[in-house]
Amino acid sequence: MWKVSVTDRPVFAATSAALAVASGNTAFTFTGFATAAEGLWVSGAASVPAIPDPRWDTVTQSFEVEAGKGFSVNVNVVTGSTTASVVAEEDLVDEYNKPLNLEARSLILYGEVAKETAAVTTVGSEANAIWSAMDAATATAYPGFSW
Amino acid sequence: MPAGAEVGEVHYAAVRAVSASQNYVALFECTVKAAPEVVEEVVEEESGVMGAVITTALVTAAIAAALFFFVL
Repeated sequence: MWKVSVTDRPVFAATSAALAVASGNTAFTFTGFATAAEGLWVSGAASVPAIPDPRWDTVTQSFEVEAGKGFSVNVNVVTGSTTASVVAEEDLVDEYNKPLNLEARSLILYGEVAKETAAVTTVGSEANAIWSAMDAATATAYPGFSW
Repeated sequence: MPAGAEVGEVHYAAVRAVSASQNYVALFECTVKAAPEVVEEVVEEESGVMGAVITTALVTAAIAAALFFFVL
């Protein structure tokens, strides 16, 4: 499910700068998927790769955050028509199908970058404005998520 | 992170991406750490400052007097 924002702010815009983030946010920006300095993503080529098991696989990023603070992830990869989405909590499991996060202690998605389709009004009909998933990253807007 | 999270708790989040017909997944491991302690600034008492000023003035005067009599 694509959730625009828990606050559903009316000023929300489909640019990375408008991503709602928590105070004291720790930000990660990826300009590629195989850059060691930024963190390595698991590639499954044409198939969908399994989520790494933190017990013996290398995680993309391991870091510390103070309680009450947050972190964000931006995927600034314009080439190749890049799209991204957050793995749902129920799908966040290890190789034995056990949930990675403790029950009722999961991270809450705070904000997402999405695409706005403006309202259209014509004679006799009206289409409300909608938010939806971004088609792909552009030069000025790319997928971003904050927790 | 949840406001009530305890130090040492580990949480995970994952993001999937598709780029140039390639599928990717990233896993983020976030550990809760303690907030930095707030260090209170120590304010020196005014009487202490005045005392230091008076002491300095007296010492300076004594040195000046000693030099005066020594030269004479």
